[in-house]
Amino acid sequence: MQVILSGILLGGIYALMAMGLSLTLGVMRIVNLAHGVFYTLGSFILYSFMVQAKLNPFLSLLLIFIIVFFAGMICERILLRPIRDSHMNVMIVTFALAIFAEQCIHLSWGVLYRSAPPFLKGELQIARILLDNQRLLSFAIGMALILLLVFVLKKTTLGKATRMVQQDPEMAMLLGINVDLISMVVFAVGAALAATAGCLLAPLYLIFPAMGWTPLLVSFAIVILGGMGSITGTVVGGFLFGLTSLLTTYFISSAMINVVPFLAIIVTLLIRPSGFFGKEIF
Amino acid sequence: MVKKGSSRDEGKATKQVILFLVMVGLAGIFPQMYPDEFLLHVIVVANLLAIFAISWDFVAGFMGQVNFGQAMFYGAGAYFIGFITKAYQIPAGLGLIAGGFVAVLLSLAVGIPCLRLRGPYYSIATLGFCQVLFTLSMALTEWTGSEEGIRGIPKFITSVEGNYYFSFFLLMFLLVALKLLFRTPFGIQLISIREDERLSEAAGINTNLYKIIGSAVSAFIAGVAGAYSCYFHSHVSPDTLSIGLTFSAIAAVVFGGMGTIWGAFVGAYVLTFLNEYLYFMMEYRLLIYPLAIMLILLFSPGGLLAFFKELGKVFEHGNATSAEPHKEL
Repeated sequence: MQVILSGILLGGIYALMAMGLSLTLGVMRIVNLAHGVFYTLGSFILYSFMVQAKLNPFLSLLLIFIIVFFAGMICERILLRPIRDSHMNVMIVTFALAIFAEQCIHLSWGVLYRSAPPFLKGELQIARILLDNQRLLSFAIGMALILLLVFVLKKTTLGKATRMVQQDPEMAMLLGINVDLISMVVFAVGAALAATAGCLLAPLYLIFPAMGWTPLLVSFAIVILGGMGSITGTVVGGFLFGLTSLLTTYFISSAMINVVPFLAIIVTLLIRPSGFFGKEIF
Repeated sequence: MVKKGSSRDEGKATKQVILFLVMVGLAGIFPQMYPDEFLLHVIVVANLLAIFAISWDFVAGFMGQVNFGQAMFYGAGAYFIGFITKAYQIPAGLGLIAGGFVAVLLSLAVGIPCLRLRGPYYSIATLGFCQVLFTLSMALTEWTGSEEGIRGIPKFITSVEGNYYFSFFLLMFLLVALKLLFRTPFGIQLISIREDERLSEAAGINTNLYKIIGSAVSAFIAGVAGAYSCYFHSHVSPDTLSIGLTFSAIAAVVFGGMGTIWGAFVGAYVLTFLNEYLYFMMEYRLLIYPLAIMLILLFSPGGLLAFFKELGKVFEHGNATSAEPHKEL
């Protein structure tokens, strides 16, 4: 029971991470392999803010969201816009960006394994289940962000324009929607969501420069499992994943965590390539 | 029109053959002129990277499928040799070929589910699978020795000079074989998949089958390279399965130009020598490759060779090889 609950709490944050990837995939139709490195960046900046600058955790979270948002905008403008039409080049460039950023992080923070202090100390006990407050808080923030994102997508003008671009970029352009601007914002939001997920998980796991690849693959697995561009699919996939990965850790070994997303990808592709809630977009 | 084209091609082909023979000749007498062990060692490493990079280019540049886990084929070949030499005595030639076939099996396991789909699935699945193998190689300490790897694998050629000749032989054999392959209908059909997958499917090409075979060929090349590297270093470690290794192949190919076999060859040499001679820059040199890749793809997607060609036609006969055939379709 303890494991299942922790799995669900973790799943919420995975869903947040995958949501960013799902947005860039669905709206811009690009495969962003640098998604994981924004996660790493979020964790490391949080570490610096909280341990070295001794800032309030919630203030740091907000600052990181803004910093990475602008970093994402710059990356999109400089690196991706000129080559957005070629899938292959986009993948290679984002891959190179991931390696580049990883090396930068490596050079500026070093190889040491670190961990960030929790935002909230203490534990919560309900009957015989023991949960630390940090997990609950991370989950709550993650869920709030997902709800906020859904609200923005469904109700605001910006969100409607984004969904228009997702359905048909050319038609959107004809209707006077600034597709370039939307793409830039979407990429930046994706990056910022990954960084936030990184912040939320930083107090729970170890921080090191190459940590971003597993969450990247997990997000891909979630997006493929749930169906590309589907919000429901992504959230459901996230919970499913949090659960399976904790169950694997609990029953087999933590080294096997990488194996699960991969198996999920292969099985999903064999059974239903468009995922469980999605439609084909490529 | 056809005649003109073919006579021009013949002229070019003769030029290439001459250039190739000159290169082989130079490579042959090189160790006599500079019997510098370190330099020869670096060249063997460069040759290995060249073979590995060509195997990546074969799938990405000629079939349009980007593999972000190419290292798994290399690592599979290398670990296969590591495992097998612990238990059995097998002839090295058999070991190299068997290493290649192990990699082929892996490529089928990933390729069959993913290559029949259009879209980025193959790229993501290969990245994932490679990470899985990397994790396993770190976790299964009893078999793989974790980070230490497996040491003390018997070399089948002990002298550096011998390894130099053997690696050159492998590389040249590969270059010629691929050159000939892209003259056969099979090679041309592979290229047609890159140019327009839907169209070639409509023209009656079984694109799924071709993609799977193509990725198997690429895996075989990488597997042989991995197996040979294991013999050469007499050591295999999880580095052979790392993202970094895949990345160095991608860097070499993008450097030299995708879809041109020569590009991968030139890129591998440039990268290896930069790597050896930029030691004074310490860790900062690791920033150069990704930065260079981003700059090249943004400003000169054809790679450095194409860039130089535009600049002053310096490398004219070097580059005018494999980029051509698809234009004649």
